[in-house]
Amino acid sequence: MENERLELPQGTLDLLILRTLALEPQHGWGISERIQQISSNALQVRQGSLYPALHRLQRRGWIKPKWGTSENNRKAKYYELTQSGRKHLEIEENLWRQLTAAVGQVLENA
Amino acid sequence: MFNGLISDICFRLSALFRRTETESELRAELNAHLEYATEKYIKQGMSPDQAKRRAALEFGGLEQITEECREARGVSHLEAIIQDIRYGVRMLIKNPVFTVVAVMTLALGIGANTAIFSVVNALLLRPLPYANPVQLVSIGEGEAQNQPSESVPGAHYLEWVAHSQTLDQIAAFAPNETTLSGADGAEKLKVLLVSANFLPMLGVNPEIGRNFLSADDQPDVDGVAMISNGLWQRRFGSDKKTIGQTITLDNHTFTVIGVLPPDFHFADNFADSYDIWVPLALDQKQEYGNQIFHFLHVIGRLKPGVTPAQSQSELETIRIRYQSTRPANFMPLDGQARVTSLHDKLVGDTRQLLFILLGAVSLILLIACVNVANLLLSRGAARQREFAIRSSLGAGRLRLIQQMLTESMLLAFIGAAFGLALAFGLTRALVTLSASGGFGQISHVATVNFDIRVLGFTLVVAFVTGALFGLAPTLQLSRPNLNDTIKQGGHGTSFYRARLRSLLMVTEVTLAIVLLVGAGLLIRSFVNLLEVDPGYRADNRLTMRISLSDQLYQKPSQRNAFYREALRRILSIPGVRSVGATNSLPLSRPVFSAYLATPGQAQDPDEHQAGVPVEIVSPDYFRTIEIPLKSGRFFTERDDAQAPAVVILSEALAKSMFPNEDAIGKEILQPGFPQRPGSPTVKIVGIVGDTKHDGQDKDVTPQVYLSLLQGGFGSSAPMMFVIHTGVDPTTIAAAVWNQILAIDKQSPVDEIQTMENRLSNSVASRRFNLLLLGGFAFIALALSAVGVYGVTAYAAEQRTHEIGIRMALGAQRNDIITMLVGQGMGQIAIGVVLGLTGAWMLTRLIKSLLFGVGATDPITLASVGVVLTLVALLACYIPARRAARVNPIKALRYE
Repeated sequence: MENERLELPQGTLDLLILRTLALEPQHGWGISERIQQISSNALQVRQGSLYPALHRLQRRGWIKPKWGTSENNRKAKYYELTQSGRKHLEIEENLWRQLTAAVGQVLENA
Repeated sequence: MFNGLISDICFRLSALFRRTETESELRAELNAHLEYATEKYIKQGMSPDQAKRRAALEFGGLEQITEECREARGVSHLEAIIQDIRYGVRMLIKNPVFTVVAVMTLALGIGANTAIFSVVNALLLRPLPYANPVQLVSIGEGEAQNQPSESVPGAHYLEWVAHSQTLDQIAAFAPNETTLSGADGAEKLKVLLVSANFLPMLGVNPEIGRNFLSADDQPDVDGVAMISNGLWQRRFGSDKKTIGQTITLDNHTFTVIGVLPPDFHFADNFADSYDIWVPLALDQKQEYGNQIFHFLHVIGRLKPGVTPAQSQSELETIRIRYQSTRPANFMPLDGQARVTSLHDKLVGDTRQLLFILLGAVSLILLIACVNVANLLLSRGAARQREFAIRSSLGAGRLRLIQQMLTESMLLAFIGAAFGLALAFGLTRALVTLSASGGFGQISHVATVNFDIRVLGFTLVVAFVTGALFGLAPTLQLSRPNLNDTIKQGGHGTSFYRARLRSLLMVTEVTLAIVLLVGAGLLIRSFVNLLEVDPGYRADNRLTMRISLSDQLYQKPSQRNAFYREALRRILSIPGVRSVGATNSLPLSRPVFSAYLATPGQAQDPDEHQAGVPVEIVSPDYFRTIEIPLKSGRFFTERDDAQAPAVVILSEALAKSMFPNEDAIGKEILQPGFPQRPGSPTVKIVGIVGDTKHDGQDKDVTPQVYLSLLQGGFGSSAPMMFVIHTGVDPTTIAAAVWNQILAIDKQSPVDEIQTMENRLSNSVASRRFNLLLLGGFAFIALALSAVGVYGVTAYAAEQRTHEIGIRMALGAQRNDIITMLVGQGMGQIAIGVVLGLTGAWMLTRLIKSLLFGVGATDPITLASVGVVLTLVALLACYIPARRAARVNPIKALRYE
């Protein structure tokens, strides 16, 4: 089963994290679970990439951390999208759509 | 974009400074993550243990994630640098001898550079301390294109003021001397006559009082004067009431209208400071005088956008136009207008000297770099193993190079810090040493100190230095196979490193030779200078100047009476052997010149032959200063105003005027001398030896001597007394002064100095150059000796094992020494040859500083080669002998 999981292309993890956080603020575990669920288990985020990515996105100023209480009443670090993060997500989403559409077109018709 | 950059920097910085906090937060976050995962697996039906293990397995290395997060935060580089610096400091503390040697070497190199640069900065780079200084120009006239510009006739100045379109303002000045007399006694002072706009043009306002007005700058108005801050403090006790007081200058009354600020300096060819400033008051009606005398120095302010060259051609056009309107019987003046930036004019030859010094200190810095690179190489060998281990633990090559460069930079900056302190002291020493003229006119105007540019220069030098010497050990790092290095226990003496080291040694010797040859040439020049026979004796001679008041001594007979009495009284002082008087001592400017001709030879006014300096002397002058009589006789007491006029010629003059003839008894015309009715000629009664009147490094000048007692033109000018003593001449100065005061309290006596002192001052700037370049060469020699020693000692240590084997096989100590020294000597020989070749090509740059020796003087080149070879030989021999003393058993065991 694990072998069937897809490897994320470079850079797409950032996009997925931003998209996930666009719904609501979430902690690290929540983000990885959400991505896994929505992708029907096809995509699994490795922790080794998730946390560095979260730090990177913070550095760019696209997400910011805040402390909150989780479902099971534990103190947890939640990440939320910033204004510029939202803008960046829009741009990245568009780019991704154009890219996949273009790649798809080539694959279909070539 | 900009926002993003700010947030990026803020994040990195906060991450850096809140490092522990960030890290512990991350840990809590990761733990929480693990717990969620464990819970999830338990829910899926695993046992708690199983779930935990599974979650941990999936999670991967906690440390690795932490490290990757650090990298993502963008702090890993900064952290690595901080870590490297800490590590570097530890390494430096652990090797104190290495650290001290390296830091001191660098401090010497960087300090010398900073010191010289601070002088360059102050004299060449900084603008003059006047208002809008870049527009200021010096205006003069010179006959040939490359002749220095000189003073101009007043008429030309007036024409330029009236017609120039390229200059905003033109101001003139004329230096002179004056006697300030008063209740405190009389004193000879330097006075500058200036046009009213002179000070305002420089942007200078008096500290108290007012500036000159154009109403002050007219002939026939009441005299006004400004005084320097120094004179105000000294003579007037800084009293504000000085303004409005009157002072007496040369028996004329002047009202003090202002005191100049203390930080204002104006320098020209004649003096580094003036005490009194009075209006020039040029009389436009004195057409003949304004046309004939070149007595004005002119400065101007260019209009914006005008270059000195444009202004020069305009002024020349005006000058030619003016000359063409003159009557034909006016002597034509063929000096061409010259306009140069005032800064360039003041800097003059100093620029070249400073470039030479900069070159010398750069060579020292290079030698220092080579030395430290060598030290690092030896230490790098010892640390080979450490790097190999770190590399096998996963440190990338770049990471290792970064660490080594950090250590080099650390050394360079510590060296620079000490270097700055050293430079501070050096700069002050330089300024003190150069006080007697080492750095020329400009140094009287500019202040040498440290500013932001000097600090910036030091930082850049430190950085470049660190990169330079840090490079060598990093180069070798990339070479060796690290695995082999570990196995060999760090003893991999690579061929590559040995080659690098010998290259460094050759470089060092080469650079040192170049500097030594430069210094050697200067030493030879100086020795030549000291060996020059000046044509007179300077030892045990006291000299002083007396300026008789024009009002008290109007008639020649009054002056003669004074001189006779003064000389008689001085001669009566115990210890005085003889005393003489002259109006122009050797090494001072000639006071008068005259065009000489024989009666048969018509004087040709068009031919601009140089005038012959005229010296007026007392009968005993020649005997006192020991200028020898070649033929004829000296002046006597009987050569007075009543006797026929006689002259004495210097040998060179006699030979040029009367080639192959005996000059004694011949007559010459006496233009410029006292014209005596009935007798247009004077008779030559004696020929005396030539003197180096203009300086030891100048040619012999022709001289014509007149008798003081004949009361000629110019006998009213200040006279110099020369006193030959049998005791230390300084001990009788007070007695002499008292004897003069006993006759006259109104006439100032000054410039009391031994003749030896004058002679020594006349070569002060050469001594200064010698001291500087010699000092730098000595540093270079010492540094390179240390370098050669270090290389040989290290090579010997590396070969201890081999030496042990050789000795066990029967090699004698001398064989070992010969082997080790021989190896070093090969490199030294190459260095010597390269260095001498380099010196042969480079020393022409200092040609202008040399005297009596060619820039490629073979004796200097050869002796420098020998000296350096001997020093290097010694530097090789000492460690070689020590290596050869080793006990073979110990050497064999040496690991």
